[in-house]
Amino acid sequence: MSIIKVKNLKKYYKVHEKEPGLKGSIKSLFSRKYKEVKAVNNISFEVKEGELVGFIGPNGAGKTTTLKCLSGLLYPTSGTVEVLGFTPWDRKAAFQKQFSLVMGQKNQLWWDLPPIETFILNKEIYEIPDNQYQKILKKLVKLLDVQKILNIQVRKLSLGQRMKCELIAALIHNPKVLFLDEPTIGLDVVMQKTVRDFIKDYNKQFKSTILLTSHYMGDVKKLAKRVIIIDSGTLLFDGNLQDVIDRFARNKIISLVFSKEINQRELAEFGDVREYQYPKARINVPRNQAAKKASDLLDKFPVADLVIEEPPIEAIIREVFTGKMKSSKKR
Amino acid sequence: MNMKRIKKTIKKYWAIFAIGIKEAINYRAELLLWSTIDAMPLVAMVVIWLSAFENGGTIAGYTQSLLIAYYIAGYVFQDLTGSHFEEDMLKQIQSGRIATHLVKPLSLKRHLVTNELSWRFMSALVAVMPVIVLVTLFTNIMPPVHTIHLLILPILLFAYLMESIYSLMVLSMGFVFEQAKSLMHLKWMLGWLFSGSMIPFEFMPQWLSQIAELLPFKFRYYLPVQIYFGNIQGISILYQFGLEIIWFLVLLFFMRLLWNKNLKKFTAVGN
Amino acid sequence: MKRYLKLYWLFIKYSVVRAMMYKEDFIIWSLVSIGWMILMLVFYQLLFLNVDSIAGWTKPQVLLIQGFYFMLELVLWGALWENMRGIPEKINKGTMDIELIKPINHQFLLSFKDFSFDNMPNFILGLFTVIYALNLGQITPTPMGISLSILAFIIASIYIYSGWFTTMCIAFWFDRFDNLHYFFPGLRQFWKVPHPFYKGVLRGIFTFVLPVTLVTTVPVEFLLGRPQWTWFAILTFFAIATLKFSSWFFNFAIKHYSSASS
Repeated sequence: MSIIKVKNLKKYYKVHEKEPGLKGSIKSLFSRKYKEVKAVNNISFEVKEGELVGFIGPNGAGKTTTLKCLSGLLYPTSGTVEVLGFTPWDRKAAFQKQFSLVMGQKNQLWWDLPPIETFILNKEIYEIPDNQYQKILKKLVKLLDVQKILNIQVRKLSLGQRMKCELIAALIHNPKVLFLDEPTIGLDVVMQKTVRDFIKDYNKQFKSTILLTSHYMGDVKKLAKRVIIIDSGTLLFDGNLQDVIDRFARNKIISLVFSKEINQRELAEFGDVREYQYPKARINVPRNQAAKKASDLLDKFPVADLVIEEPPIEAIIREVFTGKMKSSKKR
Repeated sequence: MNMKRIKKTIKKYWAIFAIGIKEAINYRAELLLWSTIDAMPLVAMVVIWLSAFENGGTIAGYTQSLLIAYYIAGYVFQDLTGSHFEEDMLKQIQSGRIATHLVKPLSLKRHLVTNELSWRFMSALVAVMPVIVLVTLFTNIMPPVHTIHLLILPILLFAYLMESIYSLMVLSMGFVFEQAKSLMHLKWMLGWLFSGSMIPFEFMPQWLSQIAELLPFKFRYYLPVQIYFGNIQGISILYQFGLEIIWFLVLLFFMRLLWNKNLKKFTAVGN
Repeated sequence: MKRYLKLYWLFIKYSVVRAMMYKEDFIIWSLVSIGWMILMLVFYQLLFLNVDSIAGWTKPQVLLIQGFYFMLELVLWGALWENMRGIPEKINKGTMDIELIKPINHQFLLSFKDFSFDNMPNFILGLFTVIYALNLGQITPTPMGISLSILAFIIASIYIYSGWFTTMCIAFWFDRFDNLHYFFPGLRQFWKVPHPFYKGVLRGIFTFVLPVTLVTTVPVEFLLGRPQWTWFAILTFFAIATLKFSSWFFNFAIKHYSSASS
């Protein structure tokens, strides 16, 4: 049973362009140039109950716009959307009580009061019965381990603690559908892991349907089996994450810092040298050989530092879009 | 000081001024609204006085026309000499963004004072010009303008600088005192009473008007209006200007002291 | 509905908690409010040093207007200010969306969530001013007069709220409008003055188009035993009509916001 149905969704905006400088500012007072931005350009997909789907794409790809249409915050230019049987932008209270939207760094907790007070506020707003509230609160507090900070003013909490409490505030009404927009943005590595683990556990325990957007490969890898790749408003891929990685992310990138000058041509024997400026270098190597190549590089060259990285998602997506990775000979 | 250095300095400050104008154009909706909002107390005041003079005659030596002219002229002078940057800057201290300004190789104080000039310029264009035009076209209560009135300009300039000094003092308190915004209100309150903007000094009991004459707030409102009305002439104008300069130097000295002391505390402790 | 009353009670409760948490701020801002009120009284003191009455209004009568003006400050700065200020701020920061997905009347949420208890002193000082003025003028209002006065005060508050909120809806057409929330409260300059002071065109505007000057005059006239039924009717009409309009305009603004925002 598809709980989310999106058909031919389009969202176009008019944006006005301004010339730089003082002259440009004065000019814009009298005549404005507009250009049309196709934020979402004909996207269709369906999500079943309990699925955890990752939306990936570079900044400006249309991910947030899509989520906003699904939450009822935006009217589309055309197309249909159905979530839990409702049309989101009708904004019926019955619909709003069943979903939640969490946006990166945007806070809803009352700054000067302890988080528990915002939870109580949401309890009243969502009309959650007492026993249900207590039950869910207990579960969430345990999952996120925030028992000790519930009664401390939000302004005194660390960023990580605040994020955890924001999540509780957003989930206290036990939504059937959860939209997460860039949930790990701005967080340190430890917090990113905490949030990812939580989302996974939440999905398992509460059986809610989760749609998350991100431009971090790490978010999606850890969480979603199914990914939808969006770029420039178009849906490029909808399927298993493993397929994407296998098909398109053929390479890994090794970043090196050398302690002594080396012969660049010798370096080229190990892989495709993308950048070389002493003492730094970056080299593409086939994914399955990355570890071996790294150890060979350490043997052969005076290396001060070495890091193996995923290609940035933008690169993978560019490859997906232009189909460059179809044949390595074409390079 | 050679020509090159002077040219560079002018260029630098012109750039700040130009950016200020650009910002002001960007904020034109806000500017238009400010002029409307600022005109409201003026209108209310005029209404009170029109009613007070219903039976004609004079009150405290003022005729109805003269009193209304007092408030209109005062409104113009007040608008040209205002300084408001401390409100936003206090927010930047709270958020920590002030740090980016403190490390730039340009005196923050000079930057703020120059930048504010562009807002004064825009304000003159948007708020003051219409009032002057409307009043001159539709009424004849404003006394005629003479060349001697040019002497008002340096008085206004230093009044503006003193307003900036108050702003900087409030800002510097923002480094050490969380509710420094309340000091802004103190500045406004003292200004309202002692600049002459609430009511001309002639309406006050003698002890109060004597205090008002001694304080520096009059240079922004009461004094320039009296010069405009011809009530202060010749040598007296120079005498008052001299007083103004003295006040300016005293305030400048204390502001610098306060600024350095508070900034030291701020950078030592962090936030 | 009971739910909304319960929520409003929560909002007020939290404002008190917050005020107690920041006792220092509370004291400082109380002092600031008191300072402004004292200055206002100073103006009328100085004015009446030089005249006996203005347009038939004596000093005690004018002070009554000031008293009600101060009490209305609680409505402006206590009940509404943080919320009105927050509307363009939320739009600018992108946090408006978080409010709009909540299953509750959004106008209610945006209008009343953040009560500022710091302004209680305004109300109390206003009350004292009213009592002082009644004393000074040796005026004894009837119980009927007092009740009607209170009713008029409530209706005036509804009108002020509706007007302010309507102007704030304009923010939904801008992604930044830093001083929009200062506009409507700017009109308070006009209700510091008794309605009869206004003549000609202004009188017409303030009676039939934007009767903000009635918000203080109508309650005061009830206390003075000179009920102004026409003005009271006008004020009531505008309060209800503006409230209804604010609701319609808010929905219209949200529709625009939901089509245009990115």
